[in-house]
Amino acid sequence: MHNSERDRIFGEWLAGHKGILFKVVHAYAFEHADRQDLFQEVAVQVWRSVDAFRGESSVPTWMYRVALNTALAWTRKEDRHQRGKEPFEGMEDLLTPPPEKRDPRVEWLYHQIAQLKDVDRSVALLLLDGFSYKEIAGITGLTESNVGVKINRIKSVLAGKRMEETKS
Amino acid sequence: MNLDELMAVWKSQDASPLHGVNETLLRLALRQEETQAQKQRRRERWIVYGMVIGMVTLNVAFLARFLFFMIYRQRGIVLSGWDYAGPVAGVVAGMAAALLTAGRLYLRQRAQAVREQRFGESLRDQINRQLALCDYAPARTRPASRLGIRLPVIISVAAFFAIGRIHNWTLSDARLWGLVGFFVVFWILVVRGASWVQRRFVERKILPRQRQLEALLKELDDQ
Repeated sequence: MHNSERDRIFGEWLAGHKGILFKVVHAYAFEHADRQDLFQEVAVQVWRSVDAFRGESSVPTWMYRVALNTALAWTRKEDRHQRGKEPFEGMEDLLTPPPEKRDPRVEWLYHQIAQLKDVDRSVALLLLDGFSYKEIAGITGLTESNVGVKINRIKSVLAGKRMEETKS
Repeated sequence: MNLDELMAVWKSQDASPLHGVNETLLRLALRQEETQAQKQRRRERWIVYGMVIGMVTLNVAFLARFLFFMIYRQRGIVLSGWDYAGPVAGVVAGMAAALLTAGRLYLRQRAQAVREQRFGESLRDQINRQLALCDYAPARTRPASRLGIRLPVIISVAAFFAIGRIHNWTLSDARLWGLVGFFVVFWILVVRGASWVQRRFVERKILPRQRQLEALLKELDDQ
């Protein structure tokens, strides 16, 4: 595929579903600089994946899949300087900072998600965005029953935290 | 809040995204990424070519040098076709070994690419694909693989000394000892050095990553 065609498709995907990338970035990176870096990495991988997209799943499912795979690999890379792979220079302003006033309930959700294990975080994001067990299983490679077990655990963790905070 | 309420809160982000994106910078990053990937692929290709060219050149140079001595040091002695056959066979064997190594390297890379393509697109597949990549690097440090890379050097040196033996070189021959010294230093610096660097890279970078990926895979399987 020619680069201009890939750019066009990527532009359409980004315009329609950039929220997916932000959600994944916020769930896996916690400082603004890290978020810039992860967003860049995720965007590059989504752009590269345009060629491989065959339309067998929806675009949001595909973008989630690529973004989560990238984010999981990203958090596991300890020191990017050591690997000689640093973010591109001059990309500090790639993302505008989030607005000062954000919905505290969204903040609370991100805080709880951040405390989950890496894989559970992926499942939680997909669950909250309304993906079915089957879709989550397809994206993660888990069995549907395992997805069910993980979702039950995530639900009980979230409910428990909510209850604790309500009491306190 | 129940799950439906949490989902409603979560989806409220779609109406007002958390960030804006500087699209000009993003396109620049994509171009840079493409350029870097192309450079990397070119570099890897040239490393393989360089290795093969280097090995072939070394073989030809050493054995041509020997041929030169054989002809000019033994004035008055008529050399038969068999006298030339040794060095020529050495050159051919060394070059064949170098080409064999390059072919083996190429086939290994192809097999690795096929292995990576076998995996699908799920998270588990991605982890397995990265694990396959991790397996590939330590495989190059295994004895069989190391022998493959060293084979051209071993064949050249063995051919060189076999030829020296045929021509009754004695241990007092200073040139012979000079060349022995050269081979030893060459072996230590280049072959052992390269192995050491590769082993160190695997121990420091690949194995920890492999362990992390295995932990992630375990986390996926964890009920």
